[in-house]
Amino acid sequence: MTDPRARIEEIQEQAWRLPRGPAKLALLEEAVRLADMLEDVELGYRLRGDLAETATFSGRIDVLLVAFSWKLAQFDRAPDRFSDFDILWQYKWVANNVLDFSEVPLPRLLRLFDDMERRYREAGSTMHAVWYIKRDLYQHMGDRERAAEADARYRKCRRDHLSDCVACVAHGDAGYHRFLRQWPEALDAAEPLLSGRLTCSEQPHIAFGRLLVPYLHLKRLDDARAAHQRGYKMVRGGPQFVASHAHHLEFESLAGEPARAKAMVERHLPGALASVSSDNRFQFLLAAKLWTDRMLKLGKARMKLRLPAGPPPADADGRSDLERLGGWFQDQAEGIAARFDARNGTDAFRRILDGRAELMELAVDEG
Amino acid sequence: MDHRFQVNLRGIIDLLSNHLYSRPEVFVRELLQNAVDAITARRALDPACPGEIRLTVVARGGGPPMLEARDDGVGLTEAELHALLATIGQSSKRDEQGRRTGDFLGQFGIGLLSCFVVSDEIVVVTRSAREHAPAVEWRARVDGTYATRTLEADVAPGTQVYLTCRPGREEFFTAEAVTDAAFHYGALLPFPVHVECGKSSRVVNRDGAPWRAEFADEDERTRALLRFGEKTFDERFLDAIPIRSRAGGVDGVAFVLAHPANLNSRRGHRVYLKNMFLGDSVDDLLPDWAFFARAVVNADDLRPTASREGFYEDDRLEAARAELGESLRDSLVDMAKRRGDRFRRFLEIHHLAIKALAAQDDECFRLFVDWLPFETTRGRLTVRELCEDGAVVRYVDDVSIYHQLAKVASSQGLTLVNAGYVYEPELLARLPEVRPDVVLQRVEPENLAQEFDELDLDEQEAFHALLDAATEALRPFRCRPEARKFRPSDMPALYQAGSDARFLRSLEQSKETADPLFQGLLDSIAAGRGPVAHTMLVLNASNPMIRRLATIKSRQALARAAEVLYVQGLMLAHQPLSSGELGLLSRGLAGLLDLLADRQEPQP
Repeated sequence: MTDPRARIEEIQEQAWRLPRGPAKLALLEEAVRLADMLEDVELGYRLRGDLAETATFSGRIDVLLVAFSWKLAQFDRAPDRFSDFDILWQYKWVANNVLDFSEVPLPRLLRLFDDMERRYREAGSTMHAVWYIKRDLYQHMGDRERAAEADARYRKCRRDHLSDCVACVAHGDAGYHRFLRQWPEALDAAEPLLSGRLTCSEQPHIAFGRLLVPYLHLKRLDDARAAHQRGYKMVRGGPQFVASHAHHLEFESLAGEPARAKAMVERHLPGALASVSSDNRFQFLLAAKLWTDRMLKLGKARMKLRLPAGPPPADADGRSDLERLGGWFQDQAEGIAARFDARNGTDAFRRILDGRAELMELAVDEG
Repeated sequence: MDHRFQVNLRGIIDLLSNHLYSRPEVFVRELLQNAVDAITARRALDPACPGEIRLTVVARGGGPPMLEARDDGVGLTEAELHALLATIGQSSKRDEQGRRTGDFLGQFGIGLLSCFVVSDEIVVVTRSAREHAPAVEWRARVDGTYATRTLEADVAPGTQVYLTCRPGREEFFTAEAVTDAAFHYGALLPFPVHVECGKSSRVVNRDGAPWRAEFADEDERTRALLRFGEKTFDERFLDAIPIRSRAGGVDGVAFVLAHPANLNSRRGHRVYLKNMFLGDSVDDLLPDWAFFARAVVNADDLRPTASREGFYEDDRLEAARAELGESLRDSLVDMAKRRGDRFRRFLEIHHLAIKALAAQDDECFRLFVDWLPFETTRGRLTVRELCEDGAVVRYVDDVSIYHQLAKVASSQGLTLVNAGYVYEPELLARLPEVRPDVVLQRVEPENLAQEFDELDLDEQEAFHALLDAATEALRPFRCRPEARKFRPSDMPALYQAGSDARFLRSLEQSKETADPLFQGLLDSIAAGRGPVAHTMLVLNASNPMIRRLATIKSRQALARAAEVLYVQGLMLAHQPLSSGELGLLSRGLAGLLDLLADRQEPQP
């Protein structure tokens, strides 16, 4: 048997060269198991930090949660042994993403945000990051009033070392204006991202997709096309960008080439359906439904499609019935929406479903 | 009353040299650019003008060295020279897209400013080719003063610029430094650039852009390009592939790295604009999958950014990027068809890039799929070799499961493919599209056991009691025992867990330590995953110890033995033990002691 420490080093070396994704995750998980076998808590802590980061940016929030809860428990046992910045920073990933799991009951979700708030307060944070992330929580629940309060409070707080980077905050602001259907304000907030003045590892990648609907509302089709072109290639290969894939699929269906949209469905549907986040699945299902609606409107009712397991299988001639497929997308999305609304005790997701018809009116027809 | 700021030119220049110009030798670029502009303007008057640029380093015993830049371009009249002086410092703005604004004169002045970085005095001697005017001398100092005078001497049309080395800048006044800088900025220029020092004289850009030259055959061209690549990047490359795009008027070469490239890393491409150097850390010029290449390209028709270090992001650049990617891809397709040896050598190092390309381009998938190499239990095999082997291709899409299974699989004589790395699972999953005869089998640990030999009826009978006791003992651990015959026969049992089961193990493990809030969250996550996957303990019926165990009658002893085998299996599979599992070990040991004690009891 090879020496576990040597194997861990080998894994770290290998993992460093790999992009985020399943292969890197599998290797880091193996390294964590080896560290645990050695009962080396510090090594296990460090490796779980890498694992948590890889998991977050590979869209594996379940893995993040498993790694993080272990880390947090170790941190609480011996706070002097580990960096509080590191654990508080990663806490934001957890809070941000746990929202998207409809299985987590509301009281538990709110307790998580309270726990985060308490820890930030104890660490002397200005609460900039906490209010900023709470605004996301209330947007998710469709609670405009509390979202507005969180928005006002976060803007009054001074940025500190726990704040999201300025590029991400600009994107968050744009998303908030989109939520409020303030299209010009959404574009203004994102301007520093689009012009390339602010960048980070996730920005401007995901900003472009988020702005497509605001552009369409403002009839700025050329800008939308440019944003689609620049943005899609930045997110296309990333498994963590399911929501962005949905945004770009919507645009391609509404204002691009349906043939290219078909390839996008084939390319991204497997990843979207396999996503552990219900919210990601929800967004992509809606975009896929929009695509089938558009195809039907253009007179294409049946076609050959490469589909993963799950949706209704193709007919005997290998062609899928788009009406049936669209119905399946809609049913799945409604199921998720119902679970979210039940969990949140609101009707935010129902309202999103009802508002989809409006999107079809943004379609740009050739000619 | 209006006042004027007293601007300290020295201070401005120092600011410029520290902040605006990324490297001080940028003055060589500006000297070359001025000469090129002047020659271009003269050619418009007189197409027969030879067009030559000479940079001469003059080492002077005692005094500081000098640099003379001479061109046979259009030259300046005295009136033009005065206009130039008016523009220095005023129009030294680029327009939004970073193009030099204004006319040729304004640009000339801006170019000269950068020379103050290395010289406290600039002397320009120039004579216009446009009209019969005398030559003019302009002498400017860094304190902001200058003087002009007309010269009696009859000089040929053109311009000479004289720089005198500022103390501390000697490194830029050697033949080597000037040659390097002239090659760096002007390697593609279509006019000869001579660098002279004492008796030596050489042309730094003799070949111009090497990819535009004529060659006897493809191999000779490749060799020439590789030499150019090595000189440009100071790095040896594996191959050189010409690329071009009509959009933006781009042409150049993609140099293939001689070592495996990291998918994440960005390569600096080197770009020229109208044959003059623009930048050497431009990324995002080639498609993502081309991470194996560093390119040198010239563009005649793309806009530079304001900082003049790269191209402005617009539709034309986007179109150029797409076309460059296509031309690179077409060359690879062509190489695979016509130059199998060369393509194989390429794949040897850059298979990851080709996998990326095949995963996103259907045509490339069909063309390249047979060539793609995979790690297998029989070493690295291409898809073609894998398919020759027989009708079934077995693969694992999880790296650590592959390592868990590889040894056992190869002991059984099974070829197992490791498809755990990026792009690999999706590529293999599409194999039946092009190889309808091949049966593709995704191996999970629990179905690998299906490949092991079954027990015959008698053996099943003999193992019944053991399996029955083990099933009950391992139920709390969600592990199902099975008996099969497999090699190596000295391995008593094999623990197998699929990715789901392994994830749940890690979840349980975190739950053991987590606080109640997080325990609850973990429960929610687990609940969302649906029914719990079982793990499997495959007892080896070929193993002598297991065969002996099966003969034991005591159900309790069988259960204890199964528990110990389970823990051993976990440890061999590098699974950390939960507290419950650790308990099994001590219980197993205690049970063993009891049995020994029982045996000794009858004695008294």
